[in-house]
This record gives sequence, structure tokens and C-alpha cells, in this order.
Amino acid sequence: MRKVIGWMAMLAVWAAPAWGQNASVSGFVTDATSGETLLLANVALAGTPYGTATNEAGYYTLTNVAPGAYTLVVSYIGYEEHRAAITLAPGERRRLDVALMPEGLVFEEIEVTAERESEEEVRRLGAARLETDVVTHVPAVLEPDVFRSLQLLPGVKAASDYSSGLYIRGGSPDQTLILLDRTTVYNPSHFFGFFSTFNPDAIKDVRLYKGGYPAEYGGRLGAVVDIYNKDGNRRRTQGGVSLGLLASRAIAEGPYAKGSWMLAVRRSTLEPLLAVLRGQDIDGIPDAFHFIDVNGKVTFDASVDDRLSLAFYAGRDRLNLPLFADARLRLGYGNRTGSLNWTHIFSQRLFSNFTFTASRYLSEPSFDIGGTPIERENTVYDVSAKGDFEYIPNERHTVEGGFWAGLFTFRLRNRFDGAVTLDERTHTAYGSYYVQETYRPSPAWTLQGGLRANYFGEGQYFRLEPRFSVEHRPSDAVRLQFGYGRYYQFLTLITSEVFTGFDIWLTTDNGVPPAYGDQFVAGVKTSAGRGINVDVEVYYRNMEDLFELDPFLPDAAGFDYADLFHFGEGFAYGGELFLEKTRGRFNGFLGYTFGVTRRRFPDLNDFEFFPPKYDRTHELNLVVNYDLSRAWRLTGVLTYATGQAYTEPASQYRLIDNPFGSRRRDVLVSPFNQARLPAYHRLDVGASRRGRFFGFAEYELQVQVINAYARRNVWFYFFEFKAEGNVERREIPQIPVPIPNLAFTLRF
Amino acid sequence: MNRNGVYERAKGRAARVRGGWARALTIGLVFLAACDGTVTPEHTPELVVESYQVAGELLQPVRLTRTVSVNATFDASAVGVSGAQVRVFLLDEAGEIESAFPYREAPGVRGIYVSRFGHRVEPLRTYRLEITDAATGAQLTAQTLVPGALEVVAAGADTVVYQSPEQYEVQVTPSRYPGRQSFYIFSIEALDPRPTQLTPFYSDLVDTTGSDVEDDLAEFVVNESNIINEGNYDFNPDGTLTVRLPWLAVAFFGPTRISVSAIDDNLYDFIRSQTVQQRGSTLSPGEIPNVLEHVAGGHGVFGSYARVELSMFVARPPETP
Repeated sequence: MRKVIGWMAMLAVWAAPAWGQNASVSGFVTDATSGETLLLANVALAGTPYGTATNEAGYYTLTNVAPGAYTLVVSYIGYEEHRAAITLAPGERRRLDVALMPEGLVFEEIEVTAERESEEEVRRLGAARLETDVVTHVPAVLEPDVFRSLQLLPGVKAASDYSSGLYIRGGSPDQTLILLDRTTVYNPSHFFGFFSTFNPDAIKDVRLYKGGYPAEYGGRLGAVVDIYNKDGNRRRTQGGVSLGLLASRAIAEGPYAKGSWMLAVRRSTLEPLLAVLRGQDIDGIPDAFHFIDVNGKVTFDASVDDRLSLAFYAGRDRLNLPLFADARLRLGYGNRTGSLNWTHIFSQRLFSNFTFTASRYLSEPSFDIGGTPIERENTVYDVSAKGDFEYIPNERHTVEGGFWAGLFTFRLRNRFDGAVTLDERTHTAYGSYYVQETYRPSPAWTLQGGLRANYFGEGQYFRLEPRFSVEHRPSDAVRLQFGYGRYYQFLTLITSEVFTGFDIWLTTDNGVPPAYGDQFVAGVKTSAGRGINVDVEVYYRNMEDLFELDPFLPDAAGFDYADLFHFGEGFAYGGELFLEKTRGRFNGFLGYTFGVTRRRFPDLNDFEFFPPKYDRTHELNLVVNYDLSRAWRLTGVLTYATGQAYTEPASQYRLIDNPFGSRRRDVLVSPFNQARLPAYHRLDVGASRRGRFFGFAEYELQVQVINAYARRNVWFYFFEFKAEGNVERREIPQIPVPIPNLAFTLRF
Repeated sequence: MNRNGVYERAKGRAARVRGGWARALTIGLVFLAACDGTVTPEHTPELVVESYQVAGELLQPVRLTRTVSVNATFDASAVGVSGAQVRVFLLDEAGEIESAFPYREAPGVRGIYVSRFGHRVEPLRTYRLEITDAATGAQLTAQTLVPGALEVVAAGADTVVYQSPEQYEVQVTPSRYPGRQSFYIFSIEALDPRPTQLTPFYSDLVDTTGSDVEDDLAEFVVNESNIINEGNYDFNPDGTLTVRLPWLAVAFFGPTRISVSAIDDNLYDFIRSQTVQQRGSTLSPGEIPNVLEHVAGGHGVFGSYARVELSMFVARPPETP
């Protein structure tokens, strides 16, 4: 803590003096209709090299500006550009908050945007941004979903039609840090993993760092998904309801004297369907099933330089499923997060943000089979405090620093037949500190170097993570980027692609060192004008000391903690092409990924490298929107991907004299994961109509068809030994038929 | 320029762009499809050994077969390997041969070899198996460290009521195994395995009206637990272990024989990995690892175990029809 206070004092001292007689201008950029802050909006003084982007709080600073008259230009995709003439006196520190008007849908837009100066979006190396509009309009299986939409971006892959898990640049889902309002979310899934927990109505911004992410983030080997809830409308009270086939959503938001509020609720609405199915004596219908999540946020403007917000999320799935006579599965799992955030502007040069976070993950599956109860309880509690500082002494330098410290408590308890068979508890402190300097020797060059120090109490591991990136802009339209970073991970997720309700988080400890890896990323990002961007990135990353629960462990009782794991390594490399058209009636993006990822563990494939199931060599995603008119929009998504790796057995044998039971022991002999499923491809289409609903609300009706041409993609093969002596290969399909989806939304 | 003119021009340009994109996309998909190679694994016949030695009992038979293609039909009588030279050695602490026990092929049963000598397997000793395939000259070797013997100190009541609060318990002296805790397997053998005797959970698994009822029933006549670690149980003050029979393991009402077996490393690795092949684990579906075998020059298992057996009667609870 003394270090933190020292940090703050040092930065405050830096912030105090003005550097010469040059002026500065700073402020928040917001949506004019709702007052929501806009993150990563572009701010520039026209005709000068002065330019920047708003930070995670929607705040910008331009420092060391020579006195004089300028035109301040603020732009953001989907909003009208804002231009303001300003005159800065020597030494002046101008506070200028800017509100941008959203663009409307007009036919002439094609010509208007063609004439317009191209917008410049801040595009970091390895970063991608997802518009919430894309989430709600991309055809979705039953329910719009943030992670499903992220899976369309190059470098991000899905394990199957049934999984919302993010497999980013050859990494497994636990290698991606999921943050909601700066708080870690440990199991972001609903409905057996089919959907992510994030209600698209409640979300303001989704940012994805696919790799090479900066020093302000840490704790995961691969990627970061940084999600921010809406603050709530600061201009007027409004709401909306959406009725879907699987779930329904409602949101209300509005202003009050000192800020804004927002409350969003989503709940599954399957009960009537389940009741009908139960009435028809169909097997496998749950006695009870639902999921619910609630997002809320209150902002409080304490002063012009102090903004506070309190955000929370609570989500839960419950399932009560009879399996056979005298057998039943009960499952409850979910997350709760809360964060108190304080944004304080010390001065125009020093911006700060402090957050207190709490996150809880709970999973409680239990079986009762033939009078024998089998129970598991896995809980994760994570309470932390974070502080981030951004100091901008002049236009050439930006210094950032911060800390993140907390207490992590993990518990895993298994009971079999009433007796505790495993009881692991971890209660440990962790902390990380980072400092990062961004240096711009000229408008054409940006260098960023950072160092992150991590401490994890369980095992007393202290690790340093250097980060570095450089960007060169030979012209306004082209960025050449390179980045390197080292990353450590102190957690591992034991998950099933089939069913995420049983997910377990485990940590490092004595004998279980943290996994680590290096990432090298290079990219070319171009803006071809007319809203067309073309990005190419290549990457290589290694993964060392990977620790996963030993897949062959039949019973953990009596083992030392380190003996529960098998340890391995891996690597991944690839290239990504992203072609985006952001404007006009016909817009969308094309993403292509070439990717290779390999793993090896001593007890698999004779310790030779193998492709994990989620390895796909090629993947192509095409997302197109076409605005037929002000009211009608057509949307299509086409996906093509190399078939996933799987194990095709070569030989079989059978042990006949089993001394312990009646069943023979049937054995397959196989090269591990050396075969490929047939190529995956799928077309989803949708149409939406917007309009006024009896004069009091805006409505939107969406009709979508998933898997429009009924492609029968293979999920996996199941090999069944038959009594006749043959082995039968059964195909387990992904979504095999066209699935219609209907949603009706009202906003008032 | 009027609005319609702008719109028509825009439409024409958009159509040309779309046409170009469609061609590029088609070419791209064809290219990608051409890159998607698959590997067809090749089958090579290999020797498979199956033998389970029991502490305190006479040397057990060795079954020798071969692997067959996954696309072929497995016929136990056809895959037996005849004419092999099979020997089992008892090793001393230094790993040198202390005694040799040659095997001979059992008459009339292809691929089954039995010991020529009546040697009783000694607990906590190491036995080595050597096989030479006469047809190919291939050699197969494996060895097992036999678990320490275990004994019943006290058993539960002769009759227990199914799913009653008082579960069947057995107090045993624990087996020993150098360098690790003991691993146990329960076997519950129904001595009156008729369809009407099935407990409710298993009754739902067996179609008692189908033509395969006998085969289905046979699967549960000897019901086998998963591997259970010694760490699941508390040691009694006298150093013994009290183990409880989970009701899940009971498939039939009526007379029942219960076995508790302590297994060696070979069986532990083989059974736990074979279970993963058949029932899955934390691996993704479709990822099928090979079983963990300790056999050089072939496949299978040469394992050992120590066992105790008891008999009891599982009575129906009053409300069970």
C-alpha cells in the first residue's frame, strides 16, 4: 500500500507544474442522446499532428498544444463527426466535453459518406472491437450473444455450435481474461455453455485483445475480453422489452439529479414448453430448468472531476433433471460480480481510476444414483482493489501505471456416498503492478514499453512480464505494428466442451508452477477510405508449464495437490485477414484465419505434439448487412472452417477375462487426434423490420434462420463396440437442421 | 444529380462489388477445401497379452491374441496366438531371476497358456512375463509388482435392506503397495441374477422385454466399481480400514458375493485409461487417448491384485414392488 501511496504522490507532483506556456484541452466524449461515454473515440486538432483517443472512461487529453486557433475534430463510428473551433491562450487548460449525435439511416448516406473525410479508428495491435449493434443483429441460435458474435472475428474460434467458449489464437477458453466493468467473471456461460452470460441490452462496449495485450492487463496467457455495462441514459428515462424463443429481456435506464441508472434483466422462458413436453411423457425433460441474469449500474457525478459508479451482475442456472428411475441430476451454477468505480481527474495531465471488485463463482452439481449421492461444490471468491493512472506530460509521452491486488479463495469439495473424498481450499493474496510508457517521437512512430510484476501467494510465485510494441505510420492510411509480451497464468480451468456447468477452477501451488508464454505479433492495418479497412496480423506464441487436471485421474482422494495435474506445453502460430466495410447500405466484414496450434503432455500421444480438437487450419467468416430501406435490413453470416482434429482408431482389441466385472474391456488403438472431421460450413440469414409501435414505442421484429441450407456438420464421432465384434462409428452432429428464430423488441 | 440517379449508380456499383466478392469467395472456399487433408490410420497386427495374477493363488493363465483392424470383426477364437513361448519369472530385489515358470498352451483353446508348475503368487514380489511369438519372432515383455495381501477383520450383517441407512461395511487390513497408497475395486456378484431381481436404477437400464435381455443382464451380474483410492477411507485406531458398499453398485436383490481387490500399477493405469476411452473425461469429445499400458512389444495388461471375498443378502425394502 505504501508503494501505491508513493506512486500517487509522485504522479501528483508530476501533475502540478505546467510545462511552459503551451495549452491543453481535455474532456469526456459522450453520446448526445443518452449521455453514455464513448470509449476509444478519436479526438484531433485538424491540420496538426495533435491527436488521441478517449480512454476506458471516455476521457481524452491533448497536452502541450501551442497557443492559437484550432478546429477540434471528434469522431466515432456510427456518430456524426463533431467539429468545434477553439482558441487556446498560453497556459490555458481547456475543459471541453463533447457530445456526438448518432448517425441516422438515410439513403443518401452512400454519397454523403463517400464525400466525407475518412474516419480514423484507434486500432491497437491484436485488438478488435465489437459493436453491440452487431451482437443484436447477427443471426443467433435462439438468443443474441456477445461471445457468439466474437467467434466471427478472425483468430477467434468456436468449439462447436453448442459452445460459446472462446478459443483465441490457439488458446483454450481459460487463457482469456473475461472482465465485466473491470471485474473478473469466472464462468461466463448459461444453458450448458450455449450462451454467454452477457445480456446484449446492458452492454455498452466490448473490446477484445486477441494477443500481445498491454501491461495494464495480466493473469492470462492469451487474450482479454473487456466488457463494459451501460451507464444508463443521462438525458431521459427509457426502457425496452424483447421477447425471444428461449429468453426474454427487459431494460430500463434513465437520469437522476446526479447521474444515471440502468437495470437489465434476462430470464429463460422455457417453462411452458417443458410443461407441454412433460405432459407428453417424453424422456429427458427436466423437472425444472431456468437461467436468469440481472445487470445494474448507478453512476454518480460527484463533481466535474469525480465520477463514481456502482455496477453489479448476478446470474444463475438451475437444473433438476431425472435421468433414469432412481437417478437424478441437480445443478446450480452462476456468477455474481460487483464493482465500485471512482474516476478522478487530478489534473488535465493526470487521470485516475480506482475500482473495488468482488466476484463469486459457484457450481454445485449433484447426482443421486440408485441411492448413492455424488456431490461437488466448487466456489471461487475474488475480492480486489485496482488503481490505474494515466499521466500525459506532453504530446510525446504518456505514462500509465497501476496496481491490482486482492484475495482469491477457491474451494473444491467432492462427496461420494456421504463421505468427503476431496476437500481442497486455497485462500491466497495476489497482486500485480504495472508501469507503461507510450512514446511518440513523431506522428509517424509510437513506441510502447511496459513491465508488469505479478505475485501469487499460493506457492509464493513472483513473476515479471515485459511488454513492448511499436507502430509506424508511413501514411495516414497505413499502420505497421509489432508487439511482444510475456504472460503468466496462475489458474487453470477444468471444463467440458459438452457442459460448462461442471467447470472447475484450480490454481498454482507448491509443485504446480504458473504457466507462461511469449507472444510475438506483427500487423499491417490500412484504411482504404469509404469506411473500408483491411487488417493483416501474424502471430507466434508458445505455452510452457501448462497444467491441467490429469484426464486419467479416477479418484483424487489421498493424492498430493501436484499429483492431480499433468504438465505440458504448446505453441500456436497463424495469420489473420480482416476486411471491413463500415459504411453504406451494404456493409459487414470478411475474416480469414490461418491457424495452427499444438500441445503435448507426457501421457498423451507418446509426448509428441498433437492438434487439440479446437485446432482449425483455415476459417473464413463473412458477415454482411444490407439495408433495403429505413425499415428493413437483411443480414447473412457464412462460415467455412477446416474440420476439427479427432481420433480415428486404427485397431481394436478386447480383453475377455476381466476379473472384476462382467464387462469385457474393449480397447481402441489410435494415433491421437491425427484425423480431421469433414469441413464445417454454415449459412445463417436474417431479416429485421423497424418501425413505430402504435405511436408510443419503437419496435423491431427479427426473423432469422440458422443453418439455412441444413448442413449436417459433424461435432464428433462416437465409437461403439458391438457384441458382434465390430466397432460402429456413430456421428454426433452439430445443429443439423435449419433453426428458425423470432424476436420482437420494443423500445420506449 | 437526382436522388434516383444516385441510388441506381450505387446499386450498380454494389452489384459489381458483390459479384466480385462472390467469385473471390467461391475460389477461396475451393482453395481452402483442397487444403483440408485427412489422415487414414493404418492397422498393423500386434500381440495382445491378458493375464491377471492373484496374490496367494496359483499362477494364472496367459491369454495371447492380436489386434485387429477397427473395421474388422473381432472373433476371440480366431485371434488367439498359438505356438508362442511363454514364461513367467519371479524376480529378486535386484531384479534378477529367482525362479522361472514356463507355460504351455492349454489343449483345445487357441491362445491360452497355463503354467506348468503350481507356484503360488507371492504378495509384494515382482513377476516378469516374456513371450516369443513363434510365427514372427516378435518378443513381448511385461512385469508386475503384486500388491500386499488384505484380510477381512469384520464384516457387516449377513442381510442388509437395500438403501437402508445402515450400509454394508467391511473392516479389512489394508493392502500395501510400495511408494503409493492402495487402489481398490469392488466387485458385486449377483448369485441370483434374474430380471425380477433388478434394483430400480438397473431395472431402468435393462429392457426386460427385449430379445437381448440375457446379454443385458449379463453385463450387471458382476458389477464393478470405479477405482477407489485408499484416501477415501479413514483408518481405524487399530490400523484397519472400514469400507462401505455404495448402493449404486448393487444391481440385484438377493444373494450377493462381494470382492474387494487391491490392484497393481499395471491394472491401475490400464483400467483408468480404458475407462477414459469408453466414458470420456475432461478431454474433448472425439479425443480418444490410447490406454496406458506397461507392455513392451505389444498391447494389453499383465497385472496383479490381492483380493478378499464375502457373501451377504440384499433384501428388498418394504415399499419396493
